[in-house]
This record gives sequence, structure tokens and C-alpha cells, in this order.
Amino acid sequence: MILLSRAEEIILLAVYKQGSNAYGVTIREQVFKDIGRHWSFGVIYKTLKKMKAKGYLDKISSAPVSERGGRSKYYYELTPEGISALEKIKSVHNSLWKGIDELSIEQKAR
Amino acid sequence: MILLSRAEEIILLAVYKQRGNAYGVTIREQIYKDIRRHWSFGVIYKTLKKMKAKGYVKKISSAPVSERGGRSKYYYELTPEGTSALEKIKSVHFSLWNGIKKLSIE
Amino acid sequence: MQAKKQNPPFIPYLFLKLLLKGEDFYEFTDDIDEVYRYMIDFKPGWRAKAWYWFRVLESFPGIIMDKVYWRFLMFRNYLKIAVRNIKRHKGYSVINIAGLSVGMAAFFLISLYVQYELSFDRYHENADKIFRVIRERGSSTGNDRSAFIHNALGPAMVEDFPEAISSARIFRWHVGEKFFAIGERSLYENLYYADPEFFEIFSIPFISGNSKKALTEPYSIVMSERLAGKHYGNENPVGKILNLQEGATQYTYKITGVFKDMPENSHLTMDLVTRLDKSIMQAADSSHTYVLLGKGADPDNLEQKLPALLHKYDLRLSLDDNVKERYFLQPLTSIHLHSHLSDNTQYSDNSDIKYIYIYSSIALLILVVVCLNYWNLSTARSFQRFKEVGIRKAVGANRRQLFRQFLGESFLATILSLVVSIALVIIFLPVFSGITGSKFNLGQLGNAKYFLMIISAVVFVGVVGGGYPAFHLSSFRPVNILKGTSKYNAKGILVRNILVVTQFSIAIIIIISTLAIKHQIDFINKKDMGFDREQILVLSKVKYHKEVRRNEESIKTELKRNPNITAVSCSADLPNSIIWRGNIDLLDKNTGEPVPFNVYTVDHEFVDLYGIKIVEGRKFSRDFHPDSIKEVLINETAAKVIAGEALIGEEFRFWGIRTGRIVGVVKDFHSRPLHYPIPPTFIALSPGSTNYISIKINPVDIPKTIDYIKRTMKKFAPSYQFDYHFFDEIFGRDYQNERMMGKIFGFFMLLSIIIACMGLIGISTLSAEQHTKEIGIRKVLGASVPSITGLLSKDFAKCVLFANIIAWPIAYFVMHRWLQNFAYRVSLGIGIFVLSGLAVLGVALLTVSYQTIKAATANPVDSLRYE
Repeated sequence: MILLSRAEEIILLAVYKQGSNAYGVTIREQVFKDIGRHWSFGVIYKTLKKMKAKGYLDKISSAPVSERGGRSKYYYELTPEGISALEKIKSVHNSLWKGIDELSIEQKAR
Repeated sequence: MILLSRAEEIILLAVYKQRGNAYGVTIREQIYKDIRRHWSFGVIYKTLKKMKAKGYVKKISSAPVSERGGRSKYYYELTPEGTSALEKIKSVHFSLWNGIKKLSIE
Repeated sequence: MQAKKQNPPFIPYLFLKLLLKGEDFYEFTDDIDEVYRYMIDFKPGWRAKAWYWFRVLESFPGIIMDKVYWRFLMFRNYLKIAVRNIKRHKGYSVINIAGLSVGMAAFFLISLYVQYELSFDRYHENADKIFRVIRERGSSTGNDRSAFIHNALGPAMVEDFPEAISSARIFRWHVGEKFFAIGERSLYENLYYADPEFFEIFSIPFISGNSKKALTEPYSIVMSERLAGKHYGNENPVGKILNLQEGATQYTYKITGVFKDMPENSHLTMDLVTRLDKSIMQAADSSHTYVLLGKGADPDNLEQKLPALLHKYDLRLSLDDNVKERYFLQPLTSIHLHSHLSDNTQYSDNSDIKYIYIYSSIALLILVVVCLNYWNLSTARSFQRFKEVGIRKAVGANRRQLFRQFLGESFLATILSLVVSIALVIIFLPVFSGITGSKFNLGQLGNAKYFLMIISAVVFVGVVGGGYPAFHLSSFRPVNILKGTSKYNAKGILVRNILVVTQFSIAIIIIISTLAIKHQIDFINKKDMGFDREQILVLSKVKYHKEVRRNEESIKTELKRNPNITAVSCSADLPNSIIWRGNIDLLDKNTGEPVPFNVYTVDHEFVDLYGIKIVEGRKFSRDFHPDSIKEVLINETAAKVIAGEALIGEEFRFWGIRTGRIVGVVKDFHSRPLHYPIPPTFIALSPGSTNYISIKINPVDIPKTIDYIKRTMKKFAPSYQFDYHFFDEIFGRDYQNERMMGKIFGFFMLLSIIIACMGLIGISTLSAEQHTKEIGIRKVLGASVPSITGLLSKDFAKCVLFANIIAWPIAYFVMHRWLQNFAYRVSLGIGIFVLSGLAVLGVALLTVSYQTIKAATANPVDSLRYE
């Protein structure tokens, strides 16, 4: 399996953390909370779309909602494949960073 | 600062772990040890080049070496910027995964 | 133990060598060799080799992506710098780009037009094998070229010549429009008669019905999609009946097909076609004939065999053996532009190749001017950037990089200009197609050849415009530049002057031409044509309405009751367009041949209404004459040409059976446009063959008058569809080409002046800047502002004067030739030339004045301090 990219990881995690309330707005807020940066809706929707295409996310349309002019609200949910992609990333990260507590600056002394 | 991409993170970490002896061959081996996949030399050198351009690594040419026909061997080393880029990734990862013991499907 | 020394596989190594350069190459190969050498020690050779192969091959994508990335980055950098540079010299950049865009847009528009005109009739599958037969007849009034030939010629050609596969004739009555009735509605349409083979020779697809069978039955008729839509909506008209009212007779036609509209770029567009029958062919002995030749047939060869054919079947149109006739095969594709047919009773409105030449050359000239401008400005500006170049070179930029960058800047500017010019083309396309009368749309731009042209134009301009300065600049030696010793040398000034002179010569030529054209148009407008043009309303298409003809007199009387209507005349013709032209039994006193006459068929009032003056004899009398003797007026030209002593009272035969008597001579009037000399003309009194009702009105309350006329017509001829035009409008149509030329030239005149001035602005600014030190010194030494201004302007004034010297002869030559087209023309007075020269000089001085005055009034302290 190809590793998730940074952005994909961040977005999938945001979807996970928002549980049943993961849609554009809340996902974006979660991303901000996590990494301290605002991503544009464009990037977020684009990534969500790709994740759905890869089968990592499900897109669920709610019942029509009046505030949206009678249209649906679209929620996202992790699929089992999405979960395993995330778990893979977690384990890769762990093995990458195993044993590295502090990046020593002894580099400079070279 | 823009976050390092996955590939960049992996390569910089490999450079770090092989510090003192980080060149094409060793970096490639380290990557394999870390993620269990072989990356092509082309991709590795290309990323190293970009990292150098961004200022995250230094390229150091050794003294001429006879096995290389009198040419230098090129080593890579993290710069302070590179180190902080990695640290940032570490902390971002932490805040991302903080509190999530195990992922579960509800 | 000795290590096995084996070399890595050669081919992958070669690949690497090709793809990677320098340090990158060694890094890769050395690293990978290290592993390889380690491997061959304990693994089989083939495994090590395979490993090597794989590692190299799998690295290809990475390597290539890398190259792409860096190239892209470099490109983006160049772009950034180029944009920054352009922004820095905003003024120049704007002028340069604006000038280039306008020039390019003009070029594109013209080329659209030229392309369109050249594309006529090419859509037919057999286009290069279709020919129209043309007849040229020698007569005392010059060569008469016509497409009317004997009806039997086509079939004879097919019969006798194996190369002629098929022929088709087309015919239309001179006044082509016919009056049809469909149920309640009526329509006027041009009716064409054609052989069934027509649709086989020409590629006109059928939407309904079968093209091969459509015209096989007599009285079968086919119509265009447009016509079908107009009168039948969505219904399929095939199978329906169409009734044609012709005089007293009604003909019934059956619709057998609907064909796709003939494209705009056809020399002839027909909407309604019926079968050419014997009855028609008997009534008219001549028609237009097209032949389709077989593959490999030689039209010239065929042409040479024609005289024999004509003789064999006696197919000459002239009754007189002394009149020489020559026949030609005119290729289909050259009909639109190369016809040069003599009279305007041909079926199509053709253009002429000379317009294409003229406009193409102008477009090219404009492009050249614009490019020169661009080049000029770039070069001049580049001298300003010495310092920048010097420093950059000293710091290590190499020549190639600099060259690439300057070229890149020029390219960027060119691309920007291209974008702007395309926008301009889109905006001005409707205006332009309005002027030229051709309807093009943006669809034409989709042509691949056209895009090629665009691209080559862009490349041309970008390379030429940017190449020289780029090359020049990048070659300067840094030391010289920083020291300031490299200056705008004499050679540079010469080049600059040549450019200015060329631009202004072109501008002057165009100005003189435009003035001359407008002069001629003015002349046409003001010239006394021998007949009145103002305040005359013309009702047309009267012929088909029996009611009108029957009630002619009552209509006339009723109309004249209106105080604002001063005269009414019913005639078959209008003064500037005649239906009939042919030989009368009056002999030319010089050649002894019958004189070809233009014939007008009119009523009593015609001559007065149109103000045609009688110089000898009398007007038509109101006495009733037996039908067989017609009163006739001839014009002065005819009078001079006709043999015989006493003209007045002379009788002669015409139209076969009729006898005419000359009762008077009228002053010559221009029955043909001013391109042609006045032909011998006679005016026959023949009331009853009315096609037009001419009404002279007072210029007051015109809408009321028109309403009155409309009501009157309605009263006496309810079925008449009221259709009026003012005569001066009808008259103006004869000169549409010239009018169009006038407009286009006027536009170009403005354009070339603007462009030349823009160039001048740029150059004068730079020149002034070059001379700041010099000016400063002069001022300190006491020179006055006017004298300094004079000094700076002197150079440019000399250029302009020199431009005049070059331009005048060329303009004279060109305009003289153009004016030869007109039998009646203005002369090219010296006034036009002087006026243009002075105007250009004035504009040029004005343009440079701002800069020169600014420079001249600058504080010497500042300018001398500037180092």
C-alpha cells in the first residue's frame, strides 16, 4: 500500500476525530486545531474527494436541510480501508522515529 | 513553515540516522530498514537535491578517493533548518495523534 | 585474495551518462558502483549485473522528474525576472506591447478577410475540376466579358469531348425575383433554373429528397433549408405545391427536395431552384454554363478545341460574323476574385483579387511597421541597461543566461501582445465584418493553418524583436560598460534613423492613399451623374402585381394628389441599373457593326423626374402611337457614334420586331458606375412594363408621405408587399467597394500614425536621456531653450522629411494605378502630398516636443550631476 501523504493523513485524522460530525467546516476547524494552520476549503474538498476515490472515505448525504436551500449536507466517514491506511501511517511513523527522543544538534559539530 | 512531505521526512530522518556516513547507498538502506520498501536511487538523489536547495541538508564532498577514480564521495548532513523541520513534523504528529490509542470504526 | 574486477554493465551506464550531468552523474555512478563491486565479490556476476540494471532503470522516472522540475523552476525564475523588468519600465512596456497588439490585431483581421475571400467555392468536392465557360467579345466599346453563353454549348462539350464529363446550366431572369403564392402567404424569391446535373457537379447536400432525382421531373423545384424554414417552419415541404404567378399565367411547381444552405463563401447562392426546361431555353438563348472535367483533363487543351466546336454546331451568340468571340474555361475557384466580367447583370456579386492584394500588402506593412517599432524600442532601451548588464556580468552571469533572459523578456512581451491582440480581434470582429460585408465569425479561427500563421507571426516578432538587442546586449564587455565608455554609437544611430524613416514613409504612403481615396469618393458623391438622386423614393418588385399594372394610372394620379409628392414615374429600370442591353439595328459609323446599347424602358415622367436633360429634339409626346413604333431618346454618346445624318426622326428596328423612332437626344448621364465610360444609351417610351415606381417627394414630413404612399398602394394593390428604398441608397450600392476601401484605409491611416508616433515617443525619450549631459553643458554655456529644443528635434525632422521623399513617388504610383480603374476620376494634385507631409511633420514634432522641451528646460545642475 502506498503511504498516505501528509495532507491525506491530516485530513483522515480530522475526519476520524470529528466522528459523526465530519463535514467541510468541522474538518477544516479540526485541521486548524491540529496543526495550527488554516487550509483552504479547496484543498480540503480536493483531498476528501481523492480519499473517497481511493476508498478511504465514505460520503454521506444528509436529509435535505432548510438552511442549505433544501439541499443535503455531506458528511464524511472513514472506511475500514481508511482506518488501516491511518494505522499503517502510525506504525510507519513509529518505526521511523523509534528511539529518537531528541534530535541532537551534534550534527553541527561536524 | 511548510510541512515536510512524507518522502522528505523519511529521507531527512535517514540522513539523521546515518549521520557521519550518510550518502546515497547508506541512505537507501536506512530507508528500507525504516519502511520496508526500496526506493530508487533516482528518487533519493532527486529529493536530496531539493532538500539541499531548501536548505535542509548540506552536501559535503570528501577527500578524493581512489576507488572512485580520484573523485570525491558526497555525504549529506542535516542543517539546523533541516533539524527544526524534522522536529516540527514530530510535534505535529504528536498533536495529531495525541490521545488516540487505537483507531476504531464506530 | 584478489577481488574480481568486473566493470558494471555498459548500457545502463551510458543511459546515466546521457541523463545526468557532472556532479550528479558521478555521485550516482560512484555510489552505485560501490555496491556493485561489493556484490560481485560474493554473488554471481549475473545477479550483480541484474541488480545494477534494475537500480538504474527504476531511477529513470525520478531523474526525469528532477530534470523537469529544475527546468520548470528556471523557467519560472526567468519569467519572474522578466515580469519584474517589464514592470520596472512600465511606460515603454506599455507602449511596446500596445503597439504590437494593435498591429497584430490588424494583421489578423485582415488575414481573416483574405483567407475568407480566397476560400470561396473550395468546399465543393470537385472544386478543382469545375469550370465556368466565359465568352469574350470584341466590340467598339471595348472587350465585353460575359458568362452568358449559348445554351447548347454545355451539352455539346459533353457530347464531343470525352474530358468533359458533365455540364450544367444555370439561368435566371434578369429581374430574378418571382412572386410565389403558398396558400395565404406570398413570397418573393430569386428563382433559378438549373439542369439536374447541377447538384451532381456541385457538392450541395440534400436534407430532404434525393439530389440525383430532384430535378428530373419538369416543374420540380427544390429549396434551401433557410427558405424552407422561413416559409414552412418545421414542416417538411417536400411534396407540396408552389404556385408561381408570372404575368397572367400561373405555373404549378412541386417541391421535390430541400438542400443545405449554400455557404456564405460561394460565388453564387441560390435558394430556389427549378428545372431548366425547353420553354425557358427558347425564351432566352443564353445562360451560365459549368462543366465538370475528368481527372487529368487539361482545360487549356479543351479551350483550344472550343472554336471548332462552336463552329460545328453554330453556337456563337453574335449574329454578326465579324464580331470576334473568344471562349474560356474559368476555374471555379477563381470566379469570385478573378472574373472581371463586364456588366452587372451577371448572377453574382464578385469581388476582385486586387482588393486582396491591396489589403494583404497593407496588413503586411502594418506588421512590418509594428515589428520595426518593437525592434527599435527594444534596441534603444537596451542601451539604457548597460549598467545592469555590466554589473551582472561582473558578478558572474554568463552570456548565455543573459541572452536567454533578454530573449525571454521579449518573448513574454510578445505573448502578452498576442493575448491582447486576440482580445482586440474578438472585440472588433463584428465591426470589421460589417465594414467588409463578409460575415465571418470566430469559427474561422479554428482553422489549423490559421493557427500556424499566428504562431509563426509570434515567433517571428519575438525573435526578430528580441533577438538583436538580446544578442547585442549580452555581448558587451563588463569593463567597458561600467566604465561608461560604451555608448550609443554612430552605427546605432544610423539603424535607428533608418527605422524611423521607414515607419514614417509607410505612414505617409498610407495617408496620401487614404486622402486620395477619400477624394475620389467625395468626387463620386458630388459628381453630377446627369440624374437626380435626392428625395426619390423607389418602390420595387412591382412587376408581379397585376393590380399595380392595371391601376398604374390611378395610382399615379392618387399619389400626385399629395402636396408633398412632386412627381411619379413607372419604369422598368432605374437610371443606374438597366435590364436590357443588346444590339439594336443602328450601326456604328466607324465599325459598321451594330452598336451595343443600354436600353431603358420608361414612361413619360421618367426623364423629368430624374432630371435628365434634353439637348436636342423633344421629350416624349403624349400622343398615342401605334404599338409598333416606339418613341426613343438617345444619349449624346450614342448620337456621336451612330452612322447617319439626321438622327432625329430616324427609325430603326429593335427587339426583333419593333420599330423605334428617335425623337430627341439627352445629355449624357452615368448609366453605369464611374468606373466605366458612358455607353451609348437609349430610352424607350414603353409604359406598362413597370418594375419600379419612382416617387419624388419634398423633404418635409417624410414619414407622413411614406405612410400616404403605403396607403395608396394598399388601396389599389392590396397584395403588393410594400417595399421601398431611397434612390440615393440604391445608388450608393454601386460604390460599396470604394466606400469600404475608404473606411479601411482611414482606419489604417490612423493606425499607422499612432504606431509611428508611439515609436517616436520612445525613441525621443531615450535620445533625450542620452543627451542630458550634453544639454546640461550647453545650457551652462548659455544656450536657450528653443535652440536646444531645435537641436534635439532636428534629427527627427530630417528623418521625416526624408521619409516624404521616399513616400511621395511610391504613393503617386500606387494611387495613379488605382485611379485608372475609374473612367471618371480626380487628379492627384500636389496638395495632397504636401498636406500629408506637413501633417506628418507636425505630428512628429508634437510627439517629440514633450520630451525635448522637458529635457531642454531641465536644470543643468541636475543633469550634470547625473553620472
